Amino acid sequence: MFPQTFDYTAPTTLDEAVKLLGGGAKALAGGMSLIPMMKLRLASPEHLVDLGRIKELNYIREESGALHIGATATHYAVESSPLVRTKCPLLAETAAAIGDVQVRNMGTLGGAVAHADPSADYPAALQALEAKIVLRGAGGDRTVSAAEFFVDAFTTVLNEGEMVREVIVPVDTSGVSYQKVPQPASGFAMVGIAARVKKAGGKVTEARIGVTGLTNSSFRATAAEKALEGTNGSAADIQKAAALVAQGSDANSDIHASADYRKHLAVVYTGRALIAAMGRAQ
Amino acid sequence: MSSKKDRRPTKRPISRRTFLEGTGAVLVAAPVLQGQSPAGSPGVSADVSHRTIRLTVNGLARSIEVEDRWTLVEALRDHMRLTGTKIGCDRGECGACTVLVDGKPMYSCSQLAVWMDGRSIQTVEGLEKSGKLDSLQQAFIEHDAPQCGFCTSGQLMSAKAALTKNPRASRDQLRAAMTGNLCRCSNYHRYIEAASAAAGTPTVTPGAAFYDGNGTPVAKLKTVGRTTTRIDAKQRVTGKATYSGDIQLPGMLYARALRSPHPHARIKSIDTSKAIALPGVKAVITHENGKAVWGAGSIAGGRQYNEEVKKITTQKRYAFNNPVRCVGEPVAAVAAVNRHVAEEALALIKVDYEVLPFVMDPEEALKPGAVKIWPEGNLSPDVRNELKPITEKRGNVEEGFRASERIFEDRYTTAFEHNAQMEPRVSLAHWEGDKLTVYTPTGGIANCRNDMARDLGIPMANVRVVCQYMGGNFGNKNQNQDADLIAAMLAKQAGAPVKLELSRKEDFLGMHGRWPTTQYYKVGVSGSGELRALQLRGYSGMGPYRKNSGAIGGVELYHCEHVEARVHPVYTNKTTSGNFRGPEFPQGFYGIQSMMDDVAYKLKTDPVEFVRKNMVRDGGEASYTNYTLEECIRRGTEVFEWTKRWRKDPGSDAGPIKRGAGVAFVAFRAAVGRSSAICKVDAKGHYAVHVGVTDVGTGAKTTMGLIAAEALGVPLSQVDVVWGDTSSCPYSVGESGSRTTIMTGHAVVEAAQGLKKQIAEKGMPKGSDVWTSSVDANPTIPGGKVRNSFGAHFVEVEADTETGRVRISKYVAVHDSGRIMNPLTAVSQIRGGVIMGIGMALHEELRYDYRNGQPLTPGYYGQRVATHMDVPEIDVIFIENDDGYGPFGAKSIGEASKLPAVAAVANAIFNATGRRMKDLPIRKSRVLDALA
Repeated sequence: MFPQTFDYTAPTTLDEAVKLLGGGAKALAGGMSLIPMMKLRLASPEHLVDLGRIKELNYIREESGALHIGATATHYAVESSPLVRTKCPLLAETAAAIGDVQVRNMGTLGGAVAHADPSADYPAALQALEAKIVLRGAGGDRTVSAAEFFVDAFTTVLNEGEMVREVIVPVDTSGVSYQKVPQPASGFAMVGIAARVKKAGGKVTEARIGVTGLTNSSFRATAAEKALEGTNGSAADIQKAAALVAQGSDANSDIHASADYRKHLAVVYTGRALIAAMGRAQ
Repeated sequence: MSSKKDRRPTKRPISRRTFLEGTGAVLVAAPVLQGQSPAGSPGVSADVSHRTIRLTVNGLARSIEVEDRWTLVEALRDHMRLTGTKIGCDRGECGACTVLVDGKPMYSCSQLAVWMDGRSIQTVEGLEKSGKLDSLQQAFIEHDAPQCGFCTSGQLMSAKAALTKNPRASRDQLRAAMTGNLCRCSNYHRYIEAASAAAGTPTVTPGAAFYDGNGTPVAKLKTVGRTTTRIDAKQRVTGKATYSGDIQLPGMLYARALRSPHPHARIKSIDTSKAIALPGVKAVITHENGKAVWGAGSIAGGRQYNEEVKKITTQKRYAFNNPVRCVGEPVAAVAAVNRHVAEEALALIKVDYEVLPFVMDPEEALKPGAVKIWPEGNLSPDVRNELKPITEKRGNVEEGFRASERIFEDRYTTAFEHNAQMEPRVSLAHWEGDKLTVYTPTGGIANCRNDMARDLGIPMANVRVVCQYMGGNFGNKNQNQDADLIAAMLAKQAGAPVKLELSRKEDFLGMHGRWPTTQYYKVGVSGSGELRALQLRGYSGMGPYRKNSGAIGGVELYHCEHVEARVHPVYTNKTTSGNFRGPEFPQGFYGIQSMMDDVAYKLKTDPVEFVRKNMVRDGGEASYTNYTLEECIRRGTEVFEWTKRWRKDPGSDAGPIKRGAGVAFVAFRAAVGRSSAICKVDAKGHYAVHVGVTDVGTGAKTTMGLIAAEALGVPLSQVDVVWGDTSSCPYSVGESGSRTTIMTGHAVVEAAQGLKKQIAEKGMPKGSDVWTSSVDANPTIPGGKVRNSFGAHFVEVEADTETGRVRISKYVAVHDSGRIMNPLTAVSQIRGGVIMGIGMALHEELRYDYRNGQPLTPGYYGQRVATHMDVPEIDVIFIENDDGYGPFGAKSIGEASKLPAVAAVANAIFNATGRRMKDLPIRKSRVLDALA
């Protein structure tokens, strides 16, 4: 089936794109969600602004202790970037876990973030990394934290006419791991856990746990983090902390996994992610 | 999280994931199921936004005008005529459309053509350089990578990119790189073997071993039995194989079908006036003006709809029915100058439905007061139009139970799983006067021709059916389909060729899949564990029509004096059920072999011993032309190391990962029967064998060539195989029931013998003479002996008791398929069947919302077909025999390979976890629930 007819513009500058978005056009990045949606007429934008030709949106660079990644960097670019792999391995590991090669070659970080699918992989890592997301609108840039950015299923703080410009993640030296339960055919995360752990003097000094797939929106499991911090990070400590990850969460339920099963998986995978992260922490 | 609860979004667009997996409420409510892309007529429409792009395609710089809404695959297939790139799902799930964009594999169905401005595209057609195949293509041929070939282009492009990036890519790296490419033939091992070979890092895979059955060596032959690459493999790896959807005829129109959004509804009226008035629309048909009884769609009692049956059956299925009885039934169809117009026209058809109550579960459907889908009720009548279950009786089962020391009862259920072949349904119909040609995916051109003539009321001589390549079959593609009738009626009305295309979703809902079953068993045994009585009461959900039998196979596997099986084929408002690889057996074998496995444990017996004691034996219920079941089990037990892997105490591993082993076996028909063949020779010594096969992916063309060459005593290179067109091929039994090699192969032997006799009498032909030997063979086996193939599967699983995940860690499949005609393709068949069986055991289901009768998972991701990442190593062992029947002793393979796999996996899960899994599929959550 086909998309409805639409106007198509491929600007080469960010300012041009923002102007068009202000006029009610829909941003198109990798199209891995939008194009099939348009073919099924689940989305019928009248005007598409293709961000793919805007060079100033496609970069990965290090600046003052952080990595800045442009919105149209593909999952493949993130996964294979030597910079990301060495300075923020959690994000590279997460990008490599997305979908399949065909999807990673075309799908973009900015597109995935803006789409805010509750089963997307990136949000777990961005929560755990306490990433910042830079948004561009007619009024210029504004920066929000990942925790603020993701509001609900397919819902973010992006306003009409606004777009994701870049994602900022810290240069990260903690032990990390991303562990997911993929819907085995599509690869989407039924539950995905991104864990970061720092250790000093045999104690866990910092723990960060990002969760995706469990609820309508990604989140940081702060109770579990707190329970782990200050402990030796033993198997028992990890288990105790992991048990808190789904506590009180309004877990999603669908034909792939019931709410209870998702919660159970979240606990098991938090344990596994923390064990792996702990093994990599100094 | 909870602090944001107040910010509920007002609008929730559906996600890629949601619609890919088919869970979306919006999708469910969509009133129209529409067809696949791409736009057909060459050139852009002036009134649609378009532009010129410059790109490089397979090394050639091109400038092409494209509509902004075109996808890349649409531009490639329709406007550049590069049809090697296939459309399997049209929504980024299956990978058949994979091409390289600037060297990177991407889904061309999910790319806009305008994006390609300034980019470089490589398609399968660009792999060959100056007439020389790429080494990867060569490896694909040598390692038998393409079965049906429909996913092959995509697999090639993904492998090519992976090897360009890393010429020494490992097996695991290749799997990860190719996992976006589904293969329903499940020939994943071969794809990885081929790509590894091209990488120069072939790893030894557990391959195949061949043993002579019953201790008698099978005499080696000259051609048959030698590893032979497929005679059409080159076409399949170059994109040159022409599938039905690749054909374009001059003046051809495109058709789309409007389908019912309701599980059960009466059509009060249909207003097509606006659709007819739309410029570009050439024909519109509904149940009012498109009346044709689709005989193959509702076979009385599971038997073919012949003239006799036609007279007595009261339940007719039409191409368009009123009332509609399941979601996805065709309600109207439109033919127009291009696909876009056809789809616009569908949206203009107004249908006024009276929504009726519906019933989804077969047992519910038989209860008093249940909604009646047919006036006679919901039990499907048999071939004599009597409302009786399918019954098989031997001895007196009540007496048997009285004589039993212990009696066990249990219930097992199995799910609807769609055939999910890679090629979506398509039909191209073309009338020339009163003569009809149909290009359609069918494994039975002769049967399809017969059916079209019968259903349209025209002489068979006026129908030609063509299918040169087919993208997978897996059951009941041996007749005509409603799509063929609809295309033919539209073409007649429009006075032009019409191509009707179904989307992947329409294919899932408008075709058929394996019937779901509920099975109640009662088993009586003696004190020493011998079967005394065996009773099955079964229910099969047929959907609203009886496309096939609805039987439940399995009781015949056991040696037992007192047997009674009563199976009720029941109408429901789900999608129609039909044959799918071993129609009634994988689900029945799962039920009965789980039941028997359970009985074995309850008697504290090794399941292998229990099988040995109670399995069907030669001279028991039947005498066989040869019998190797005992040997299959013995050999498998050894190779698998059963005593080492089997846990005497199920679930006794410490965990969290627990291992266990399971066994199941198969005895399956390999009967001889009627088919035809023609052999010819000309003065130059060129031989030709004409056979009515399509080769749905099994390698039938090559097998027929091998058999002919052997029987003629000439090399294969001297034999041309002519296939896939009723104008040049005689009757063939059709590719279903694992019969082609046996029946058509036997006809080839007879035809070849006839030709040899002519040559002996007259000498070789001279000048323009051609000697022809035409045979309609119908061999029989004297003495009432039964001819079966046999086998046994041994599986070890690892069950993760924390997550419920089951991984296959060891698999041994032992088969007696008689003499193996071509070891290369035979091994591919076995592995493919095993992987499908594992998928059926663990994942596959077309799920429904019983509250509204809506299907939830009509697609590859939804049904969860196996991927590259799901595939375990599989050891294949053949116990070879020549019992003197079939061509050189060949027996059945294709279905037999799937039949025991499901039960073997389920039994291994029991051994690992100590939990009997009584419902398919054995999802992770079910394993976990059972362990709780």
